[in-house]
This record gives sequence, structure tokens and C-alpha cells, in this order.
Amino acid sequence: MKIIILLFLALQLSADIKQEMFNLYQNEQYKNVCSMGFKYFSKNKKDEEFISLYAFACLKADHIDRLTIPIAMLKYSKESRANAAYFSVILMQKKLLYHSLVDGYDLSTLDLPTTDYVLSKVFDLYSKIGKHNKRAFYLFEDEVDNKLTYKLYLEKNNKLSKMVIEEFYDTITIKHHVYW
Amino acid sequence: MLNTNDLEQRWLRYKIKSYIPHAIIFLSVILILSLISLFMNKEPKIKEVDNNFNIHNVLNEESQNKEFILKETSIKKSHKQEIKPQERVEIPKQNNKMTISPSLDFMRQMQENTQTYFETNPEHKPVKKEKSHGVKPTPKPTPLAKKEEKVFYEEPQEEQIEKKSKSIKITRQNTHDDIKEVVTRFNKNNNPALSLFIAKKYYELGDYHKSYNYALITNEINNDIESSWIIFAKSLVKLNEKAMAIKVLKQYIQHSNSNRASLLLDKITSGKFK
Repeated sequence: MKIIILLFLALQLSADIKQEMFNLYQNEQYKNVCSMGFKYFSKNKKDEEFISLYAFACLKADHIDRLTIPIAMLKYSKESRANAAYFSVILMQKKLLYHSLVDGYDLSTLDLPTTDYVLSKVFDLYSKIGKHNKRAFYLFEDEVDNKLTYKLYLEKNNKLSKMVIEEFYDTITIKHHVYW
Repeated sequence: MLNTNDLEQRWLRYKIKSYIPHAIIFLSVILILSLISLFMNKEPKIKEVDNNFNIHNVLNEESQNKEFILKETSIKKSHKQEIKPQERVEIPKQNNKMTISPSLDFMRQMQENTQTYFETNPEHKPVKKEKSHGVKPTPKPTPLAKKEEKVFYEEPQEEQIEKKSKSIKITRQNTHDDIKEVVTRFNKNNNPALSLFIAKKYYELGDYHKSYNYALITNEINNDIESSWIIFAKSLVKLNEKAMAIKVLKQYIQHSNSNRASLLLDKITSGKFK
């Protein structure tokens, strides 16, 4: 009898975690959701809803490298495959953009799909420049909203350079993303 | 003389028989539980899980290289950066790129599953206030019209009409029906995310009285939700209460240093937002 109760409690607990994560996601606490997903991932690795929720939260919290596992795991439903493709485009664009900024890799010949994520927008704008000499920073105007501007630059450290994207609206910084 | 061997055998048989009902109950409960969990999980069952890679290794490695978190930067107006037009990169506008969009149906499904946890009793419970963690940014504005509280008790009229006709009708849900559903759910669990959703929807529909009231309720439950204050101020402007909107936004900005609120305040004061 004790085993049954424990079994029931374990099932209930895993459902509660997903629900709690979803509530946090709705309250825009993406960093917390990403951390929770990371913590409970191994217990829920068969649950594609859980993995998707975790991946979207990490994406919104700019933890893009954490998308690697969801990309590999999401494959059993049409929706999951669509999301896996979406995440992989963003991850690839992040890696390519970073490679180009640090090592001068030419992106102009690439014709990749795009997404609505800020990194994709900056990637598209950057790759349109073509071959060029390295600049200290790049300022791009959004193609839809001309008040929205993106500033792309490398923040150099001793060990590792970090790629920074700042979003401006009417000259005021509204978001600050750092990737490497 | 007692035949102890025979007695022992009989005792053993008796003992085994006494365990049989327990074993049957145990097995049947396990069976029922597994069947229930099978039905509950609508998603396709995953037969194989990739064990080719060690998740923990990858995740741990990744966590060491933690990326910075998205910062909703609290840069005040003093940090305004001037962007000279000549610094901008000129991009030739062209081509139609293939856009990959995420699929968020699973979230809708999760939301529906959440709904089933609540009772269907439509009684209104009073909104519970969360313990405020800081100083409340604004004095409590009262609802514009008390009539608006009726929204909690509103009967879905379209449903009544459908009941009368007694015939099966398949109708496409419109936004009003969606809002009613969310209102019902909000009345049961007082989740500020739901009241914020309702406020946004009413604002989109142009019902600024209701959007004002729901934004106000959201702020009472949790006064740290930026979007709620934005909707609240926008609704006030739409209701010709510009001065009040400016006052509220100023107090909120003082409390939170919100950039979005600053932008809205600029737009309202400059007359760009009417």
C-alpha cells in the first residue's frame, strides 16, 4: 500500500512541477523556468511538453546553448519537430554570427531560413552587409519598425569574447542580450 | 500424538491463501493506475529515448559557461544613447526569406488541462491580495464604474440562446467567448496572468472600462507586473484620464525604473499616444 501511495505521489509531483513551470512562464519568469527545467530534466525527458516549455523559457532567457538537448529530443510529434527546427535555426545563427564576428567568416553567401527571434533578425541584417572590414560595432534599423534599432558588437575579455546585441527604441536601451 | 508435519503443511497453505486477496488487490490497483496514466498522456508514447549522449555532462558543461540573462535593463533616461544616423548600416531591402515559426499549441493544451483542475462552480471569490514586497507605487485608484464588477457574474448569453434551440450547433468560438472562459477561470484561481490577459484582450477590443478594471485587479494582486501597469495607463488615456495616466506612470517609473513605462509616458506627454 505504501508503494502505491509513493507511486501516486511521484506522479502527482511531476505534474505539479510542469504546472508550476507553466505558471511561471505565463508570469514571464523565464529564467526561473529554465533553471527548473534544467533541474528536473532527467525526470521528465520523455515528456515533450515539458521539454518544449523548458526550451522556450531558456530561449527567452537567452540561454541558447541549453537548446541543444531539446533540439535532439523533440522529434515524436509534428509540433515538436517544428519547434526543434525553430530552435536549431536560432542556435545555428548564433554560432555562425559569433564565428563571423570573431574570425571574420563570410556569411553573405548563406541563404538560411529566418525566425522572429531577435538574433535571427540581427543575423539577417548582418549577413546582408557582405564582405567588409571588421567594425567596432554595427547598428541596424529594424525593417518593420524604424524606431527599433539593434546594436551588435563584441565585448572582448581576456579569455573569451562575448557577442552583445542591444535593442534600442528611440535611442533608449530596452533589452540587452549577451551570447557566446 | 499431533501430526506436526501435517499441521505445518496446512498452516502454510492457509498462510498462502490469506495473501492471495492482498496480491490481487495490489495487482489490480497497479493495472488501473497504469491504464489511467496511459489515458492521461495524450501525447504519443516515446518508445525509445536517446541515451546516446549523456545529458548531465552536456548540461553541466553548459552551465559552467552560463550566459548572461536577458536583462530588462533598468537604464534610466540619463543613460540615453545617441545613435547618429550616419553610424547605421545601410541594408538593401530585398528578398523573401523562409520564416520558421514556433508551434505553441502545446501551451494551449497545457492551459486547457489546467482548466480541468478547477471546479465548475461559477461562484465569485474575492480577490486575495498578495503580500506586497515593496512600497506600493501608486495610490489605489478606484474602479471607474461599479457596474463593471458585474463582469464576474455575467452569464454567457450566446450559450443560453444555444440551449434554447436544443439542436446541435457547431459554432466557432469568438474572442468574447474566449474572454468569458478566461474570466471564469480567473474567478476560480485569481491568477494575475489571467486577469492581465483579460485586460489586454478587452483593450484590444476597445472596451477600455473593462481593460482598466482588470488591469487594476491585476495590480492589486501583484503590483510588479509591468505589462499590467502599461495597459492600465493606456486604458486611462483612452478613457480621457490622461492626467491620471501620467501620474500613475510617473509613480510606477519611480518604483520600478521601467523602460517601457518611460516610453509610454513620453508618448503620452508628447501627444503621440492618444
